[in-house]
Amino acid sequence: MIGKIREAAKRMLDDGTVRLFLGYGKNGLGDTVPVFLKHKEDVEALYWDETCRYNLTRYLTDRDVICLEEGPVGVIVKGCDQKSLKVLISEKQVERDEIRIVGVVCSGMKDDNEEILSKCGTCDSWNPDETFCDIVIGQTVERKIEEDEYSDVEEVEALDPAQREKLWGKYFDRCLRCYACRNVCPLCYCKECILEQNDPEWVPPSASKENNFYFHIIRAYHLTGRCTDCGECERACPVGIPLRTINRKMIKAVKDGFDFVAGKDPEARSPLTRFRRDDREDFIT
Amino acid sequence: MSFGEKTVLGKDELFRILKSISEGCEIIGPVMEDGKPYFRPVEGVEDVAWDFDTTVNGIKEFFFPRRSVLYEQTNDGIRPFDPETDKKRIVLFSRPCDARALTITDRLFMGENQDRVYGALRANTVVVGLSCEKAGPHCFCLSVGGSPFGTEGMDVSITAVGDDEYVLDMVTDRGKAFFGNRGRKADSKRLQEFETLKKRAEESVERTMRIPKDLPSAFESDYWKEVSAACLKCGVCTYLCPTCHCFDIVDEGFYRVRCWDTCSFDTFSRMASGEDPRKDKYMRYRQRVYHKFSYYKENFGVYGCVGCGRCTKHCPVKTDIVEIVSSVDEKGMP
Repeated sequence: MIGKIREAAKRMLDDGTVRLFLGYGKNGLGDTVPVFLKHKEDVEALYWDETCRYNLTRYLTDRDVICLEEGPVGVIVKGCDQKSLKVLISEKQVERDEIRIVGVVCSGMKDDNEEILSKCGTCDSWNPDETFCDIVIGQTVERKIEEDEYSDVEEVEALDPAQREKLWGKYFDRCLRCYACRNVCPLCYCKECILEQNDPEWVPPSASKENNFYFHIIRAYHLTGRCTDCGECERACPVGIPLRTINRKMIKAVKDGFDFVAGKDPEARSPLTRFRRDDREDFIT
Repeated sequence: MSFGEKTVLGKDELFRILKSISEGCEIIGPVMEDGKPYFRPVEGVEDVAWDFDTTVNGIKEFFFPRRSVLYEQTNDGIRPFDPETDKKRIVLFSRPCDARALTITDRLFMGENQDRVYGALRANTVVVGLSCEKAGPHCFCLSVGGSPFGTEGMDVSITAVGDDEYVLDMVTDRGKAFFGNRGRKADSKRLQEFETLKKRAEESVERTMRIPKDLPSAFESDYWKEVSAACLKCGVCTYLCPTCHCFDIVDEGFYRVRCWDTCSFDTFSRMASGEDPRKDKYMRYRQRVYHKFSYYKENFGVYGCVGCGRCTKHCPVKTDIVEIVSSVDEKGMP
């Protein structure tokens, strides 16, 4: 597989199809890291294994490293990353023709303890979409898709409000406000985030349980109808806050309320960003 | 008993002593939370873990809190908000790197102008350290002047020497006053064993950071752009770092609050006019490296790093400062 990935990257960099290629490499410790390649000679640095967890589409809107208007960029996506990319395209943050997409078939990623990531268990997109990607590398994986029951969300929903407050209080008390969850998120691309606005200061920047509640509720709402459950926020969190449970609560709400799942169609608009005459209004009193 | 003289104690006895001396104190120690070790305030000595890997957080936040109120607006005007200085605290089982980090931040906060909050929290806290039997995979303390058996920043150092026995080393007068004369004098066999374990622990430190002699010469190099490309600009490395101490001061209602801030953030050096002397990511990453390995050394005589390896271990994209700093001479010189 890695041979084909390197070959594809080499070809694109060589014939000028792309000026920059985003993939996975290794650092000196042997850990997987994102790499940014500019020359065809560099493609040997590319790696592929089951620790390629990062969602590289996050870098497409990072103007410190990529200015898409300077020319096309190649990017490796797994099935899950591809969903984020579709949202980025639907939200006009990335133009489809500014990028070349190398889809790689994935059979589940593993964490540092070599355990398969929880998001991979209920993944429905191990095989990237051939009609969306420029190239798909790897043998199509045949696999029975486990129905996502949202049991993690239902467990929390079953608690009474006081128990829920206690549970999230425990987690948010730990939050350092390092913003790794926001910064790793491919869909948190705002040039100026509400968290940094200080006139008025909507969210107090100091870390306390109460302030952290504001922060996490705002984060959850801003991703509602957009989050594709790539799970990067939860992976990046240094203090183990189960952020996916929050995101998935909102995903479930949008699915139940609007029959919409983000990341399926690059043309689709999220229910919270559009108006339709047949929108539900039974909750308005 | 004189200083530098080590005593030996059994685990049960040590436990009893720790329990009696921490009576009436707020106790801070390592505990497991959802499978990971953290330093937290605990109810009693029995809650503290005796064997644990590098904790996620260090003990920094108990001296330089994530949020500290500096002033309060009252009906009678603005009043300085003092931390509870009369409350005695004891930190149990700080690792040598975390304790040593206090001596590094002391140079800034307890120098010419003593910081009110930090100074008070340092004054009311006794630090009991626990030597590392074995280094973790990310540790590199030896490269920056530390050691798995180091005692800097501790009041008392404890080392496990096998068979549930512990060697006690009174590092400061305060530690001695707190502990009193405890245990029996370590005999030459125990001292020999101590030295063997120390050597073994030091040999278990696998990583080495080569700090360039002339970092300022690499300032303009494109190297910093390359090595920081994947950086997410989050605060994981700096917030978990035991020596990073940058802060912001904000008003929250009636309180003027100091909270952590980090050079990684986009807005860190942005001025009210919108001008930003370190507007690009690489400039801020470079600032982090230079602050630790050039400016701090120049200003205070020590590196702003204790080699705990948390920044590498917890970085969401595994940016490895050891490799980055060590390769400056080879790849970073213009």
